[in-house]
Amino acid sequence: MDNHFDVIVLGTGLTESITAAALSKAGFRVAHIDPNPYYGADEASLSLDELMQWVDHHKEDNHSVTRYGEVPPHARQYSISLAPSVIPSIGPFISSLVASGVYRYGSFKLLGRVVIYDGGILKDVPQSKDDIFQSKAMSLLEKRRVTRFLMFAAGEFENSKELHGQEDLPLLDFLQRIFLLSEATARAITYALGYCCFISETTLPALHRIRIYLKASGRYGPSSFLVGYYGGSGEIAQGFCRAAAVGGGVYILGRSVTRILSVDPTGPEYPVLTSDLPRFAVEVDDFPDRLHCRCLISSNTLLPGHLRTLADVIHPSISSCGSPRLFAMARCIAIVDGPIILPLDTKDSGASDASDSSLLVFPPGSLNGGSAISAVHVMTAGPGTMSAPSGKGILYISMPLPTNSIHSAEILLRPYLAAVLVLIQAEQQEQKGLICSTFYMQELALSTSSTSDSLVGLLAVPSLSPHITQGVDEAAIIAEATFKKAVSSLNGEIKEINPGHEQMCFGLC
Amino acid sequence: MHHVKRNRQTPEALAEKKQREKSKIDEFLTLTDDVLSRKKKQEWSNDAFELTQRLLQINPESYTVWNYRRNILLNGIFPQSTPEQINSLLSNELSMTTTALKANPKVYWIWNHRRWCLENVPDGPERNEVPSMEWRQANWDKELFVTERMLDADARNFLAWNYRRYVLANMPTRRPEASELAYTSRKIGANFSNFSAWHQRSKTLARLWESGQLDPIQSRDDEFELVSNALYTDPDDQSAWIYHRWLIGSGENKTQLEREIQLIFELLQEQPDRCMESLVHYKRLLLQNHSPDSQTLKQEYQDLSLRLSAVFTVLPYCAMVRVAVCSNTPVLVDNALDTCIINKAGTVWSHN
Repeated sequence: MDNHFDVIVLGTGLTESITAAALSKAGFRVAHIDPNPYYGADEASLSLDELMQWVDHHKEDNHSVTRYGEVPPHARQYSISLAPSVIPSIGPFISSLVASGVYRYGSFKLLGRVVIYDGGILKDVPQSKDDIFQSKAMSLLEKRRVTRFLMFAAGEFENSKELHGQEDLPLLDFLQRIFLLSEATARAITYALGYCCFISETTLPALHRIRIYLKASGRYGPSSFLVGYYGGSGEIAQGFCRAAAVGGGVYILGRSVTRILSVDPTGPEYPVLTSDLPRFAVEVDDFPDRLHCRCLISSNTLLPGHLRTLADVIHPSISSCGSPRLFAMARCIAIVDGPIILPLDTKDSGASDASDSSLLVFPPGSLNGGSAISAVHVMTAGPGTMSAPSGKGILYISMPLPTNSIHSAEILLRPYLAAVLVLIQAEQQEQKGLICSTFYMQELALSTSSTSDSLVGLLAVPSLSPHITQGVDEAAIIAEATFKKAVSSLNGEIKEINPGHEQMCFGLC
Repeated sequence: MHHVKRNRQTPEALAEKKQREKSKIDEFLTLTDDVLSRKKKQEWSNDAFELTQRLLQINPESYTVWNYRRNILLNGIFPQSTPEQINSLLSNELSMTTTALKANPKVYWIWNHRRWCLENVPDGPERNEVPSMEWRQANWDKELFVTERMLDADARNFLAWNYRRYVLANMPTRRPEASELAYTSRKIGANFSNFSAWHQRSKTLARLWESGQLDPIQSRDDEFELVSNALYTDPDDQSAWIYHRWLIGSGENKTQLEREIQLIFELLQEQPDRCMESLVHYKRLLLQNHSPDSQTLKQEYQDLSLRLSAVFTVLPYCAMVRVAVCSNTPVLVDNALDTCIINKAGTVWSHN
């Protein structure tokens, strides 16, 4: 094997994989390495037994990781995501999926119900004028005001008088003060339409998100979001890797990188100075020869400390619609013995919901014993997306944390798990037991600011944002920025493999 | 179709298209000549039948050719066929026109042809030597299903709604009115900006009230509640206002009228630019029917009318005004109001 590559990518997470696929399709020789024996890195889709191995492995470093229950039979029929998320029907990520053709490697369906936990019961969140019309929970006046807000949010609000001077007001306050919405409605909009994580999140970024999601509704169906089969993100990352391989990329899984060296071009091995001299040499476990490249792209976590400070860290340039910086996510994954059906609070007048992927939002302060500042998202998954065998369901519970928490994930999330189980069990007669569950804290690497004297050609990709609706779009934006920087460090050449090949085109819809 | 934009093409693209179409046009003209000459000779052959099919596939809007086709069936093919054969021929016609309808959902002649087919389905098959209604029932049921599919594709296709009324009225075994009411509820729930669905609802309700299946007073109150949801959710939507106007009727029920006026007044506070016209009209009804001597009411009405004429110069608010002539009304103000509305009719009655 020729050991000289244009680009070496470390880590097969979603962002890195999109970048690798883009570079490969643009004609560059790419080698893609991951120490794990599976694709997707921290966003991988794992079978249940693989998940438990992953949990046990993490328990060694971190004693607050807990797991309960035994791995059931048919463990391989589960596809569990380490980063549960939904895909907005309009946005840079779906555009990448479509333009690159990677959508063909996977299957997708619409997200089902989005409900909010309010006063101990679940309420549907109106997403359109017709939902508002049919709602039995709002007064006539409230309906008028909510519609007025939705029209405002779907239009060009940037220079509107309503927004003037209020951009940094928390969205909750903005909705109540300027649009005179009730507290309950304001909560539903803030947390289950704008998907804010914290009680203090400001108006302008949330409005941007709301506008996109309102426009996204109707593109593929009534929901603004799609969910991927087989656990979502990990499966999609694998799709991008497949696209990279089709373009000639080389894959090395299950091997760690033992050393990364910056190559001295004036050394004796390189008697002639040419423009395509390697800049980096990578030593891979059990590989006799070093791999060389002119551009090294790595996930932040896989880069050794000394190189992390020298790397050009790609920052998402989405300040106007960025999510707040998260310190950590408390996570719980629970396997339920029985189909997960959320109870309806009103007589169903529309089409019955066949999708078993749904989203349940607990606003801050809505649950006794829960968080007063963080919203908690519960995503359900089941056989509808081939994520679980028939008759079983998966619950993903996530709580974003703005700072270090003294509590373990289990202490933070147990009340939510208990509440959800009560809600599901109220719907059916039989007791639904838990087959197994795990609690862990996902700490997100703090993004370091790039130094001005970073090494040319060394790019660090931040971890995938765990924001449930915005994460994948941020990944696409970062991947595009990384791609551009990589290309410019490779002297701006974009060789076409063949003209008829699909181009990886990035574009915000 | 509603909400489907017209395709604008460049002059070069248009010229290219013309070239490609030239050979098609020639073929079409030859075919047309052939068919029409046979028609003139009153030829009812199978060949002619095939030719009409080809021609109608290209141009389903040629009602002459549809007519010719029907005549071929009546005069040439049916006399030589058994009832079973006739039934299957007509079922075939219906399938063929379904495909044509999908591409051309608003061509009257396709709908007409279907009507003719349905009306000519023979009695049968024979059960115990007595001809049953089964063929007819099957075809009419299917027809109702077709209208539902058409309305799923475009809930505001007025031809489909009209046709649906025809089917419901002529089916061998009628569907209960209550199920039609439920159908309109479904359609309105899916998208309440649908004048045709509200209109259908009004027709269905009228029949239900008349036949005594629903109590008019309670039912009206239920309807007011339903439509007020639409008014409040989107006061810009005309269909809800027109339905509301129909519910009020000539304003005989004083309690209803006062309650609705109050409701609209509250909406007016919330949304000052939308409700004036209906408010004025209803106040006038109240005045005319119930308190023709009330000076306070007369004053309120005049104030509102003046506000309305001011509003009209600025905003093209649209809902029809029924000029209810009554000798008790203060004539002077009435005239001014009517003139105002008629003058502004062009801008008042806007889009949709």
